[in-house]
Amino acid sequence: MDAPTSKPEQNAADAFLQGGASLRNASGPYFGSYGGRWMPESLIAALDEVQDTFEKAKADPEFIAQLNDLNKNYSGRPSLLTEAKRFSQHAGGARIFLKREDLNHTGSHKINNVLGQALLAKRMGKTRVIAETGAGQHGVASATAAALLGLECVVYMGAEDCRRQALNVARMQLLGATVVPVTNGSQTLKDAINDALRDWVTNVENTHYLLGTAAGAHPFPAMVRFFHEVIGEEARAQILEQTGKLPDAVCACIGGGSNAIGLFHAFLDDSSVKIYGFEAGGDGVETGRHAAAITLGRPGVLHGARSYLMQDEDGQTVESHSISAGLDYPSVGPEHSYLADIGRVSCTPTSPISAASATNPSRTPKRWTRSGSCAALKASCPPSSLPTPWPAPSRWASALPKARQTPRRSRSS
Amino acid sequence: MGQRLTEGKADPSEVSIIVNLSGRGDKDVETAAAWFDMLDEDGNVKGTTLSTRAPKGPAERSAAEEQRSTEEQN
Repeated sequence: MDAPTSKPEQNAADAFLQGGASLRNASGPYFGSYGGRWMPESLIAALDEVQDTFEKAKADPEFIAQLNDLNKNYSGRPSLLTEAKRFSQHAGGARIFLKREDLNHTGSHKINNVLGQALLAKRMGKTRVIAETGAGQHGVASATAAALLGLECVVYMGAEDCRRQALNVARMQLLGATVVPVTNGSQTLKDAINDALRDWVTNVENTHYLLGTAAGAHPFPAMVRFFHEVIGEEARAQILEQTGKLPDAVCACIGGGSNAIGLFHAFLDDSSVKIYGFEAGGDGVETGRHAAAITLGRPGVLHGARSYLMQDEDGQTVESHSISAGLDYPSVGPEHSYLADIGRVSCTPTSPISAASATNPSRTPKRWTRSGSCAALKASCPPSSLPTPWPAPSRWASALPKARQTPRRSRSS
Repeated sequence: MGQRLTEGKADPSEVSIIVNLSGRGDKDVETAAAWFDMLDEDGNVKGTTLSTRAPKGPAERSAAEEQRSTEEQN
């Protein structure tokens, strides 16, 4: 694993926290200059309905009790915090604790979010949920939650991902879901989201789009984070119980960023805790075949949100690449972009191969060896190095009539 | 990252790091097995008939059985 890099504005978050402000519970729609709701007009009413239902639900003790009950008695929470004692020798002697989201029902953290959103779908009176999936984990979790609550479920999955993850396709079908292979574009997660959005536009009256990551249009980033916050809350309490103090650092991989924001959130205001996000370095950032959106992307709009985005000189989204289907996404949740910009989270691209080879030194890894600041990386790796001709929100917002200050049109979705 | 955070520490075990293990990783078994050179060209674990790939469905199975039967007859 390569040395963590830092954004140049490292002190901004410290100054923010020292001033007594909190980075937790940001409600959106904007996180700094990121986020928003860049969606077709036909979906605005649906997004308003989701937001309204979510706001009411999270203030409703009955809903929270129902969610907590499912987390405990269906998902199997709290998940364990396991010390990996023998791994310490690979980490300079530091004590490594694993937050075991792999032990949840369906095998990943994804179940936290889908149970919450499926309950919201029921509250909205929806009879059908749709979802996108990359590796199949969110699709499997969605199919499971739909089966649990008696909802019809359709999962959009890139045809390439269907091939890579055939067993998960079978698993979703066994759970009663319909899996639609997406043959557009790179046939991966980005294209699956595009097709799911098309379905939602067409069937918005009876359908809820169960988005699986902390990206997309408002309220999805804040809502998905809310349902995953349990990860960090548990981990914070468990590490205090096991070691008597807060950790020196927390870290997670970042694709869209749902598992990462779930862990990070509980520690955002603990200035002594360093936070690291690891993006997919793919074949190496110099090759252009990677998914390091924060490190090498520049701000743009994808799937309804402004965030760091891998794009070419003309602003066209470029294909991401990772051997991990779940990290193969060219953008990232907007809150991650903001936290990286203010220096609260340090992001580093790393190759899954280099991570795997750490436990098997006999293999020579094809690894990414460049180190330095994100700014230096951006400056040295075209095509994502171009300056962003994007006016600051304060400037463009003040130039618009009040009624038009909420951007609603997506360029890319 | 651990090595960086423990640099200059008299007792590195005082440093603790939480890593989020977001999923079970069974989806990545074939990828990892291929990287560690554990698979033959048919996708089976070397020296065995254990495959990391998806089991064949009924249609594929019957086609394979038909082909085997034809070969036996010939």
